[in-house]
Amino acid sequence: MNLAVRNRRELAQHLQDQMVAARMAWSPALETDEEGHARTSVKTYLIEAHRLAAESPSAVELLRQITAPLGMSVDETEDSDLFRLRNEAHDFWCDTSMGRYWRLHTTAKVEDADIVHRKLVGATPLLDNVWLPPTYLEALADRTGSAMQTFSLNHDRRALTSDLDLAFVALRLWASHAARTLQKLREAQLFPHGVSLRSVKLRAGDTEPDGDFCIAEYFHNGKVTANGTSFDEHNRVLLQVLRDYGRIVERIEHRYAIDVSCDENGCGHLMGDPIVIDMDWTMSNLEHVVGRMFSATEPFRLWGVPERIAGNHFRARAVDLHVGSTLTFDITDKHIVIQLRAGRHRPSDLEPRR
Amino acid sequence: MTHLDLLNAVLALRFRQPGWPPILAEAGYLVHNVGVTFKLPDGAKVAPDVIATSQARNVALLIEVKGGGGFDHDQAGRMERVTAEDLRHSAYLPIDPSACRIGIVYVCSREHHAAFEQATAARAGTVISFDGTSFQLGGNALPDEMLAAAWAAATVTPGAPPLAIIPFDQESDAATIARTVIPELVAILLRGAGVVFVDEILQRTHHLVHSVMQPTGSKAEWQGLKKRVTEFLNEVARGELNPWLERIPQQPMWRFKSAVPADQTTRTRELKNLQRSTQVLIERLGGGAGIQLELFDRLE
Repeated sequence: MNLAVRNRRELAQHLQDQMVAARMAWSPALETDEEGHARTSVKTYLIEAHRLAAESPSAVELLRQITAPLGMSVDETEDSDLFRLRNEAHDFWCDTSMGRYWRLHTTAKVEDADIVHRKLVGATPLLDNVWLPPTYLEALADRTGSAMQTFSLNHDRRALTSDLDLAFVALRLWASHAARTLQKLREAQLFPHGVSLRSVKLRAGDTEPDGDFCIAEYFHNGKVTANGTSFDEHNRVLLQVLRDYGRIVERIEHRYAIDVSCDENGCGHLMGDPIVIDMDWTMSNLEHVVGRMFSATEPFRLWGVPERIAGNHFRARAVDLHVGSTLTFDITDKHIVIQLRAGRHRPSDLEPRR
Repeated sequence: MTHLDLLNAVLALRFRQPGWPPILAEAGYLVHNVGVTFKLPDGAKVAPDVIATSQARNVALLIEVKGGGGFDHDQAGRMERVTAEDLRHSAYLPIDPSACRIGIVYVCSREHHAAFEQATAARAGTVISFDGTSFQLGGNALPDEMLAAAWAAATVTPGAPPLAIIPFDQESDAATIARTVIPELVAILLRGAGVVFVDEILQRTHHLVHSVMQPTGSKAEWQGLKKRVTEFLNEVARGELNPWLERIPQQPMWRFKSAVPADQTTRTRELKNLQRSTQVLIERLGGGAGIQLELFDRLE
């Protein structure tokens, strides 16, 4: 347990020390042992905190409510928006300085860290992962001035069907030119309807071996594992990701949420539009797909009782179990149409999974 | 077609959705609060189902949706007395009273087209009937010729129902109310609120009309919706949802008997039990057997 961390500056130094140690322990010979390597890296979980209403608790109150049943304590630090979460074995630092988007850092082993993170986010609809859309992951290197080193795919249609040759493919690829390799893989059309990135690993910062750099793997669920020589570089990319994510969320909430907008004279008019996703389903039995989607389980986590309202047209008012908000789906063999009400939504709601 | 079907069909011309031509949106019309009520200088109330305006074309449309074949001449008379000044100052619309032209539109099913044309023969008002795929215009001309042409040419893809922008009304069947209200109960349960109010549910299901129906006087319609939801909650709290929900005695509110489990696996199991009971309820209410949900699945 590190008791010396009193503020963000000291936390940065502490985490940088861990990143360097992780880098020193790393050997190219072990490159394929990625999970083992990640055990010693700094882990950062990007979390979205939905504290919109006046009755919502403050960050520290919310953290205390959530962590108490998990046997964790919450300590304040010299920085009013940095909190230390502790259990018997590990420290986690929750940086809430970006308001709605939190960074939860730890040096715990990845297995332990994942469990704590899952329990924290699963304990309340007020917290959710920052779900990074696969298209965003693919563009991340360019957006942050980094170089993509590796990527992993998770092409998994088992939740929807069992009648495909390639119902499930998990792939992790190291390549000298990862981005170009990904492009070639896509062009080869090996997988029906493209590839879904699960994670990308980036090198950001100096290219010299002894320069300031960070090598970080960004996962679809907002988990980041990092090592290297510069926490500042790690933090720079994290902030860029969260700003981008915030803009995506804002665009969804402002462009697509169907709501009433009032002008200064009190005159209202309807605004927004439904989200329309063009679909080219690979599954032949749409009713089965719909039945799966609203069964309250992973990966969709949507609760609803869908109905067939026309030939191949299904409708469901559903609860997004991640955030506890309701939204209405119209699903046909050509489209998924989603009506959002103003409120809390995930960009990943808009990522088609055919 | 019911009043609700036709109302959602009109709204489908504003919101872009597959199979529907967004002619109101493309013509630059703003659709103002659905169900807005305002008072004329003599105190009479006017409550068209939809008001749409185009500042560029200086047109305001008062759209009355007619689910049946009956024509209310008193209501029509009140609509015809509406002036641009009234719309500017009583309905708070952003129009220029000196230039704005007002069009009254009656939207009905095709089967009632001739009857409405006849009823409006000596009155103002354009009749627009819908048969599920096309619109037919009759009666007086719309003040916006370009919109009239677009409306007459508009075609809807066969078998493409409009989105349920307004999910149910007073006349909706109980199964439709169940499909809309119970997800809101689940959302409230997940939030840990513990107590359920009818107004809270309607604020969520009818958020586009709630703010205007409450204060401006469409009390009858709002009260009708409240009554339906109240009756529904009473029924399910005694029936299929009794393991989760109960009425608080002598209070217009309900409470959950227990919080949703903190453990995710247990919570998922509980939510699936609730889903199963909801399916049974909807089937009993005549909503059909529904889609087979995988409630005992391999991914749990």
